[in-house]
Amino acid sequence: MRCGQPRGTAMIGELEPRHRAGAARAVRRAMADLARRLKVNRQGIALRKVVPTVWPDASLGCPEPDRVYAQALTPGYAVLLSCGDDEYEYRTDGGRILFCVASKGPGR
Amino acid sequence: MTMQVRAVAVSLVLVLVLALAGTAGLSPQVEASPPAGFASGQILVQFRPGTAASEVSSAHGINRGQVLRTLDRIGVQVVRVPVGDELRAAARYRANPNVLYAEVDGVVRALGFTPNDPMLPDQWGLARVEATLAWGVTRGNSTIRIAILDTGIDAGHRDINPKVVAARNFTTSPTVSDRHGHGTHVAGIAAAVTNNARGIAGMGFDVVLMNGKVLDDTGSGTWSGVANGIIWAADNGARVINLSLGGTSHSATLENAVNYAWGRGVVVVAAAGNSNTSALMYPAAYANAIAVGATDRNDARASFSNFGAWVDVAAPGVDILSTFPRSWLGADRYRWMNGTSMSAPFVAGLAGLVWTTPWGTSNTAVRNRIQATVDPIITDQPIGGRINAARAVGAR
Repeated sequence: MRCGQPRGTAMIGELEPRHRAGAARAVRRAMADLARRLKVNRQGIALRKVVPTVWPDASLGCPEPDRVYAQALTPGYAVLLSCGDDEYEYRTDGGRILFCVASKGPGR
Repeated sequence: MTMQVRAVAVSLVLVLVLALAGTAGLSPQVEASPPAGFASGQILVQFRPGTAASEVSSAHGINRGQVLRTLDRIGVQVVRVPVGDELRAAARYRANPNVLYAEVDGVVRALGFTPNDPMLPDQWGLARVEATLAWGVTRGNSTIRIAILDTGIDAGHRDINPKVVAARNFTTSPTVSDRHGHGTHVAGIAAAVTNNARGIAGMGFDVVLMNGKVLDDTGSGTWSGVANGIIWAADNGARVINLSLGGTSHSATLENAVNYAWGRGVVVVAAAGNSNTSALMYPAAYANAIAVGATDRNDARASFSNFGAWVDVAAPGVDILSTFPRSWLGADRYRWMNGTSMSAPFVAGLAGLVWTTPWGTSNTAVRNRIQATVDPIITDQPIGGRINAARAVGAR
């Protein structure tokens, strides 16, 4: 599979300085994971958006219906990537990355 | 001038004589500063031993005093006097040579207990619920077990690990210790080692902890794992179970487990959730769990706290300092965290204290006491009142 030419621009530089390093790390990890899932070259994946977020709990806002989660606010990032016309959303906290919602694509 | 000097000298001699007589235990008490607060309309009077009854009656008549009762063992009379005249009446009685002493009936309040944990000044939540006053009445004891069903408790943290008396892993994690941080934080709020000149104080002071790991190292868990943990805690002596966890789906298995624990006499406490919604969170919403919402430093509902009539009480849940797993170098760590996860262990720790008071006769009594002694808060949506530890244990 190929993504085609990446579109969109990274907005990490527009973030507050305190978020830039964490956002860059989140994006790198999300891109690596998506490239592995889609079996595509990482260079073809575009960053659509990265947003510092405080998730309501350890589900990172992406709970599975039959599980329970630690109920502490959890800072992290929402990362929106694209491969061609398909968009993929990742959510992160300090230590892990969660493939959450896919508008199209491989599913969870 | 000479006369004045002589008068002063005579006064000094009198004072000296009276002071020496005081060593014999029978001197009139030198008037001291009255207490800041005293009972209205009554004073305390002790007459010299051997004073005739007629002279006692005469003294009361002159001072418009009426004996309400007598502390027989020490011969002190509680005397009714006109309201507002307590200080003057006491002074008049003291002027009577038959009176050994007279004083207002000072109101005694619990002094509280301030532990020596150096981070206590940063623990605003404990101050808000008046924990130090409560600790003047009870500091719990090691027969009271609070089960922390969470991501585990750091196995080596010196401010929390000595409190852990039992541990069990209900997850697929290779360790019962805490690799996430949440469980160690929650445990510290409930019952960190307190008055140990280290780190923080825990609400439950001397109560002890059970570490039931039901959330994995990412902070999530299954219904069956949580249910297993609840049953384990109830069967192994927990008097309180803290569940700083939840999900939005009902589980009959989870509800059964909560009911099982409640039936075994356990107080079950659960976080109401952090999505600023009235949607039910489980297990908090179950009838036999105390659902806990979060308040901030201004005693207002935390912006994230779930709400609704199903939320039973509130407790501090914003900027809460507590224990955190050690660094790779082995140093004890502490962090501030936010959430109803942080609120629930305040209630769990308080439940542990209440178990050691006259209200600790059953889980129903403990729960009722906590809920009946809350303070009203500023809230745009219902989350119950904010717990008050001092009132809950009868400190005021």
